[in-house]
Amino acid sequence: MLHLGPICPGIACTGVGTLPDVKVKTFRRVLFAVGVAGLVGALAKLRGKGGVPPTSGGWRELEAPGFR
Amino acid sequence: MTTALLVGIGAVGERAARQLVETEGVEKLLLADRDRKRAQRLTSSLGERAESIGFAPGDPLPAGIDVVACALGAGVDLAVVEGAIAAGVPCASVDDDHEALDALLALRGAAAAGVTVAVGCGLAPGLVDVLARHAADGLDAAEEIRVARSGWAGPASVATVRRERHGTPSEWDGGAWRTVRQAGDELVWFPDPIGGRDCTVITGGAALLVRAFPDTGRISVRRGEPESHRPFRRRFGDDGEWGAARAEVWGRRGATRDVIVYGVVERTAVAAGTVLAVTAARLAGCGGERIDRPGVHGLASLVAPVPFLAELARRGVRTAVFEGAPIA
Repeated sequence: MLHLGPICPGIACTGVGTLPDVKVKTFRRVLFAVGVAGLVGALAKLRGKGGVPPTSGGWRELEAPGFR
Repeated sequence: MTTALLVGIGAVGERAARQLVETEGVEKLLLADRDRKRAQRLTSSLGERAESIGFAPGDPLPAGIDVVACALGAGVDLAVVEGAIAAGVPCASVDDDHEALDALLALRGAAAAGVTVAVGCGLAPGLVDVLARHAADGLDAAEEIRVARSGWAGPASVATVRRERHGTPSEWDGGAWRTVRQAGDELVWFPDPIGGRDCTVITGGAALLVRAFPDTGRISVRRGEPESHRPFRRRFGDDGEWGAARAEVWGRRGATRDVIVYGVVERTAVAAGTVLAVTAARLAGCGGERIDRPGVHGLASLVAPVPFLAELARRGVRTAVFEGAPIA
């Protein structure tokens, strides 16, 4: 028979292997994996040099005769 | 009567064929591809001046050819270029793989035979080299050149980009080649609508720029990443069809340090095909001043920037200058 864990908080329960515990454990594992992936992604992104952003201005088409 | 032979009819070759057949002075365009039916299909759409022939890399060049244009995959063009040199016919190649470029630059026979071979005649290397030359001409002395490209023209182009990005790149630094280890992506700004793209250092066509600018202390090449690596960030230009290139040249103008940034946005295959066609036409003396400098060279060493850019603009490939204050 499936044990769904304590119905009220005051009742002691071993709770090992019960359905809510499995869900919480899975949720924690997923949370941990997402956290680690985020950390690795952030580190990988921080390895980039940041580039040379244009601080002002823009692009203008070059035109004859000088193309300057 | 000028007869041009175009070898390789992929994404770039097809555009080059359309440009060549419309070039004044080119009376006959011979098309060769390993897929003969594809060559015949293109021939039928180009009109009477085009003709498909059976020719493969390594075959002796047919008689009566005035110029050869190669739009082949990395390294495949070497045999065609060797054949052209043996026949004394000028040749242009669009190959952008750095090992293939090294092999082409090592062909000593071209100078001895009095044959001009133009290599790296695509978007980058190619047009971006011309832009670098144009920018350097606007300065008293060029101290650093950074070029970058985003976009790819077809399966062969994507394969080359991936190979280059996964290799260990080298850049020219202080008059010597320096291996760049653990180079992360760098945000490079191209003209709109491409905008900012993550690029990484590759070897690419740096050797062509080093030969063209022997006194420049630092030369580096960067390239963007093909689409399959970023499935969650779909933006305009991510499929590579639309490409962009940028040449940033730092140097001295009088007593002050200055920078000139030129760029271009165009369909990658269209830009590369147009550059290849214009170069091949000039090698044959069509559509402008003949390019005649025996040996193997990149476009920064071969062409006068202003007339070349004017011809590209006339054909719809337009360039731009960045007016602003980029930070080094």
